[in-house]
Amino acid sequence: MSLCREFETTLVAYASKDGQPIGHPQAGQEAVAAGVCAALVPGDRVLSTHRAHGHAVAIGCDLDRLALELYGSGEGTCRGRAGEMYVSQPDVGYFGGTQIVAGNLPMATGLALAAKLSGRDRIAVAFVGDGGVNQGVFGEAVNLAAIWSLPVIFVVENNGYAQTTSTEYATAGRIVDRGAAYGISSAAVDGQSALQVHDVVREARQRAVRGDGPTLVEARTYRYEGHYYGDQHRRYRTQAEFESWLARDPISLLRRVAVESGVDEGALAAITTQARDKCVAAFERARAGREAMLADLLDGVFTDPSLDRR
Amino acid sequence: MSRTKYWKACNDALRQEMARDRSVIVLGEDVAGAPGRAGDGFVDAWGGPFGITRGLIKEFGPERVRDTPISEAGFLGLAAGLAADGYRPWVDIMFTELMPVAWDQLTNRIARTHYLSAGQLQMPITVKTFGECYSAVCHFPGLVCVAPSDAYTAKGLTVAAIRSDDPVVIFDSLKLLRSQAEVPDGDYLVELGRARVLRAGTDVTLLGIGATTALCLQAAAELEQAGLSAEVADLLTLAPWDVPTVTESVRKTGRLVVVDFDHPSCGLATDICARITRTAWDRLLAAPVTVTPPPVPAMGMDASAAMAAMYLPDAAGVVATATKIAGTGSGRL
Repeated sequence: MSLCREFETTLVAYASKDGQPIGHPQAGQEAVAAGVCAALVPGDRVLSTHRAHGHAVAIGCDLDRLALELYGSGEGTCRGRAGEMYVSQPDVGYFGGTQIVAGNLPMATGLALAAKLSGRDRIAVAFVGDGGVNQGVFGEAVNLAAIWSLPVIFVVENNGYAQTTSTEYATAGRIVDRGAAYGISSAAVDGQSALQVHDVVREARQRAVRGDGPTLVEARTYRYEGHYYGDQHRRYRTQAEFESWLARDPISLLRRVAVESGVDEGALAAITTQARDKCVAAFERARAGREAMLADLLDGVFTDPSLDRR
Repeated sequence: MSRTKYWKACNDALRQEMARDRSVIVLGEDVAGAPGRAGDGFVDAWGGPFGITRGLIKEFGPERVRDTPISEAGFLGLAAGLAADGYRPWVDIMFTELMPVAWDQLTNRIARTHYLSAGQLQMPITVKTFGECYSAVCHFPGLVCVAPSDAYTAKGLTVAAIRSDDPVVIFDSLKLLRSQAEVPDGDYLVELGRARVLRAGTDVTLLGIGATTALCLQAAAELEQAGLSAEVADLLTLAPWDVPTVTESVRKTGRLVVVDFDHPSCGLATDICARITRTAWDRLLAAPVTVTPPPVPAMGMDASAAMAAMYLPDAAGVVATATKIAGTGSGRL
């Protein structure tokens, strides 16, 4: 969780100085990314949203190469081609995000079907925002997962807003109830509690590998920044609302639980410091990265090089 | 080698590849028919649009021949997930008109994943559809688009598509469904990215795309009667198309007529003319031209017979256009 927070803080600090894109901030939502990913095992597949870098960090993407990727360097995870929304690192189970809200959900069902057909005890997880549940493919993907009993978990990060449009305005009924409509397991969870998220997802994962099908998880959370960095979010959110969520900061909440259960505060502080050091090192490295070259742009449209550059 | 109908050649290709490679998975609406009703004795009730997938479920079972709900975006995106994890899905999108429903999955996900992941992920997917509205799909780099012109190329391109590690969209023409050609019984493939010259000529190149190749051959025979020697080329791969082969032909003949059943605006035929104008410029004797339907939002198949006859180009139209750009109706120029 600290790593997600520190990565973003460092990204904002460095990228605003260096004129690089910041993308979609996730501060405030870390407990969902971290809680979900902590419940997964190596081999599981994760698909993210447009608000992607938190998930990428939480699943364990290489921070140096991720920072290089966000800087558009040819040394980045995807040679600088993908940026925040499409960066992927499949060797750690990270299959990337999407620019199209909910556009990642069908692919998650395919990764889950692949797991099932190959008899492997692995699952797929797809994150989606509250805005995504109103897309047609949400229903298509949940339906496919349900009828074929696929090992997939759909995690709805309900941060209350699709850009400036509130969930209350745009979404009929309760999101969690949509699971019942498809006859699948579903759970609403406090998205500020990494422990609760973790427990619900661990249980959903066990169901999935047992062959008992998909789960829909609705995690209620909040983003501290706007839809994008620089978005004037005070134009659509009240100060009181903002402060009420700040009071339930997911990192502070977990820290409190840890201290109450006897974890040394110094050890907790060290986690934050180490996270910050790693992120600073990653963005210092990104700054010094090789710029993308023409080959980084032109090659590899196809696997068959004879089809490229035509 | 045996005389084989187009639909059967497609069916044979699938059967051969499914037997050869366990990672090939068939997906689509009613590709078998009556899914889940084996208990009632219903298996393979439909066999896919026009029998393309007939019998496959009996040989390969319901795990590999999967009837889907009507959700083109859902199951095409599902195919992307299968492909990212080592499977080779062959996906039936019944008609080209249904493709826009799954546009995001096709153009943002399947077309871009290999490139954007810098090769970490591959999308060995074959999408098969009936229809001629291919130009819009050809627009997106990362998709290989092909249009077979007969049963021989239908089987060979299907085999090549399934074995390719790149996503391939096959545009089949309903007009060719029951056409027959000599098709090898065994293993062969028609290479992706290559056009072929079917008939040599010296005065004009007629370039066919899918079903229009037969029109070009017919027109060439008629032109010969009138004293014009037409070369006929068959594009086969629409994107990325074979610029060198078409260029070589046009540099020899000096004239190009592209015959296309797709809508004309921003279309493949116009794109070919533009490219060839550059690559054959110093040998051109006339401006490259297209023969296409008029720019109206009609569909070839759902119009009345009278309207369909007016809508689609025919061999007479190709002859008239070729004769016009050749400047005279008789003799070598």
